[in-house]
Amino acid sequence: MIRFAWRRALESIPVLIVLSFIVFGLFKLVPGDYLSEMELNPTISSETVEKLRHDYGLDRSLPVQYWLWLKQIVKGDFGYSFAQRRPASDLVMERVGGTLVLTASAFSLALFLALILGLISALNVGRWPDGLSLWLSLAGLSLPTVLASIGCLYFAYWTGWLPVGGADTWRHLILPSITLAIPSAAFLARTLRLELIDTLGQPYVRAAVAKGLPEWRVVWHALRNAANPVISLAGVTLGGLLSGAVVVEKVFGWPGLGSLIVDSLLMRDLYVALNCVLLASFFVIVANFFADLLLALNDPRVRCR
Amino acid sequence: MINKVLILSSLLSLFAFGLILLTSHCSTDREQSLTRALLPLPEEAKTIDAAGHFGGQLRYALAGEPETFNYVAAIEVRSRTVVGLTTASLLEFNPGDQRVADGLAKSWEFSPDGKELRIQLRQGIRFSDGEPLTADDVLFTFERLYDEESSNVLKDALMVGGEPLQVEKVSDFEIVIRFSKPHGGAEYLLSNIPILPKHLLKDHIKPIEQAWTLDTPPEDMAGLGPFVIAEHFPGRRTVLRYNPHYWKVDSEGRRLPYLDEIVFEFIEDRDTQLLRFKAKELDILDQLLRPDDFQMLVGSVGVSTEDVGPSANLMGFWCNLNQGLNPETNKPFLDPVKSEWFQNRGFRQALSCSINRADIVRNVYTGYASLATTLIPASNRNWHAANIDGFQFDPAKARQLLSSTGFSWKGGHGSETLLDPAGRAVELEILTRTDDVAGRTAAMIQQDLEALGIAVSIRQEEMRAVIGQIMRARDYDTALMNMDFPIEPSDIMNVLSSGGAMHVWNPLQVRPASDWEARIDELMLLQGTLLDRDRRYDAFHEVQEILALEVPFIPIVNRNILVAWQPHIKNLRPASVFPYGLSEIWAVYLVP
Repeated sequence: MIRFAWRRALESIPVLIVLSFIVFGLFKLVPGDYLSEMELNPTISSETVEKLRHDYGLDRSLPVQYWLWLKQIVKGDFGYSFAQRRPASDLVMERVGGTLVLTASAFSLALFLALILGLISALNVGRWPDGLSLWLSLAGLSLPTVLASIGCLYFAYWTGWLPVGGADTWRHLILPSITLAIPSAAFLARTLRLELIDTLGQPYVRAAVAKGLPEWRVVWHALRNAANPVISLAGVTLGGLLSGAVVVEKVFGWPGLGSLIVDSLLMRDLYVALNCVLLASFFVIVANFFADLLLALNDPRVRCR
Repeated sequence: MINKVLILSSLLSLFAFGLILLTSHCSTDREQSLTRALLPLPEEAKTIDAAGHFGGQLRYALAGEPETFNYVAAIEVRSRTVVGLTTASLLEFNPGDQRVADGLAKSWEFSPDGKELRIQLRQGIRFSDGEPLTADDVLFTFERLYDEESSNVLKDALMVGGEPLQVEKVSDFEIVIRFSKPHGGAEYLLSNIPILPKHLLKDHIKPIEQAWTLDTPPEDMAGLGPFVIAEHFPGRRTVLRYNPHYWKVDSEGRRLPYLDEIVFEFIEDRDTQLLRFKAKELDILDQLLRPDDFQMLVGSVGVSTEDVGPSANLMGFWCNLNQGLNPETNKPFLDPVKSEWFQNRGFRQALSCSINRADIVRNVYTGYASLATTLIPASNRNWHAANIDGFQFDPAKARQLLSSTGFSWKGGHGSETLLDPAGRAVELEILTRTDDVAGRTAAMIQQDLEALGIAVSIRQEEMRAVIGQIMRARDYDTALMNMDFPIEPSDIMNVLSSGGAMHVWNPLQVRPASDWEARIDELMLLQGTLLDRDRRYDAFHEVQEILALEVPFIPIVNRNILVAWQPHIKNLRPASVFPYGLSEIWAVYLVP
């Protein structure tokens, strides 16, 4: 088990290094940098801008800049935010909690909804609850996150039941979580439905029913067998949630990594963007690791492997 | 059985969710109004003509987090909006009448040769932490701004004639500022320099712009503005609280500001801002208000609105006038054929005459923009040249101007092609940013130029990429951009003088590329050294006349400043210049 965790941790290092190089490269490929906007300020001279460019190391070549950054990391320095003139890691750490809370709440909600919808569908194949559940999940999958976010905001505005954006109390968390959970819930519900229908048709399930096992125990056994692909997919879905959070955080004004990523990319605040992307990737890797662990817990066959 | 349980449980979940919504709605989290500290007033407080009620909180939307709490490092508008309310200068620019008035200085006087400025400070003024303000703080401020290591944003403006100002202390409340040569914009310049607290910053060894970041504890910062930074919640909001030592009083001798707090909420999405304003979770919308949204709010019950007039934000169109060689490729920056067209003054004038600005105002800005005739908007009462019309929309005149410089047309009506004197079809590309307003304006210009027989394509790129193209790569035909022009002519030097980095149509010239650019250089230097207001106006007026005739830059429209606020906010004095809706904020109060 510990060896498995170590192996996964070591495997993730090259992924993060390659990713950081890609982000660095993309920053260099696109014309302009953080200081370009300052060049439009008539009261600031080009000499001042060039001095700042030199101070920030933006006048160096891509490999040199990248190498210096890697060297800094070894010393525990993850770079500097040009905009806020303080360590980029400080900015990222201020926001990471927001994203984790939002993603965790959306993920739990997505799993709960997927379980309910998937079970209702699979146990009522061809009847109206199945139709309704399929229709709901199709709608959830087709609905763009931006539209769902704005729709939720209008809902909050017209009813006055919930705050229109912001992030102060648990009430502010409700609408962003729902918006973020909708597509994942729909996707997982459809997968669970298909897997359950398949499992419920297996001879061993029919044998269990024929032997008079209570219905809930039959469904529980079938659910555990049908859960494997859903658990694997849930790990992947978590990555999707993180990218969906970018939009949701922007629209709802939720202070998380998503809005920081967009701002830093638009402003070309290189090291902040880099830290955000790396941390988000790290979360995806961790989520997949936990999905694998859950899979092993759920299925003894995986443990043997 | 299990099926029924499932359906029932999902229904129960829905019901529970509804219940949560309803019960949570009942809770309120209103903050209690703060009680104002009773501190002695400064001996020489400044009296403001206002009478209102004390207390309350104003909620204002910012498009994102400020970058700093240090005015000396504040480049973008969000930081300037927040930090601007926590600082004060020796002199004060009044956005209402656009005049410079007394600030921390109660009086000031120039020597006869204009090279020396004697300033008397108000006595009894204290920083927000209670420490007294003296001439030492003023000296400290200039010393740190001129620090060799520092790259602060005010340093360049403080170099007059390439030399720093010499600041000398005469007594605790008197200083003398010496200029290497007379400076016409001296008073305005001083209205932009925040006075820093020496007692808090003297031990800060790094360059001054690195002090006071967003994680600096509020108790380690102090200022002379009407408010102080009270709390900052990363990614959510910054709260400013009234400065208990503020040095302005109202007509009844009571210490201002009236408001207890200003809460800056970071809301990037414009729809969310509008919804929160309509839900009364925000009190003012100004910089971020879109014309369409403003139109919807005009006449709405329970909302006050005002179209304050043209801002200094100008949408301008220009041709690439670079004729030089790209040192990397040793080839011209611009295709010589196109360069020939653009160097032709008649061609540039014809382009200006073919753009229907009124249509752009109507279709792109829903009517909330003003036709621009010069670089300086009509709202700039000090420097706008009202008698200059420029080459306004007149398609017949455009054709006449082109014919007179050898251009001709082929093809029938509706499918005409403009040919240059050598018989080549005229085609050009408009470079602009990926922004809805810029894109729609470019499309309108494309339509107008195509009516003249010019084939036009549009290239939209992200703003920093566009700036890179214009300032460095210079491989573009024409560009369309909106820019904020400062209200003081000396601050536009970088745009108007031929060697300026922001001389967008042909930046960083070693020597002026044309006679008219040489004349503009001369006039800009002259106006900078004149103290006589009328003579400065005449010199700057001639600059505007030359620009209107030579048309290196075609002013299109100035976006209007639109302000909407909740009616319980009184004495709001929105201005067309920064800080717009928050101008003279010390006099704003809430109806109890």
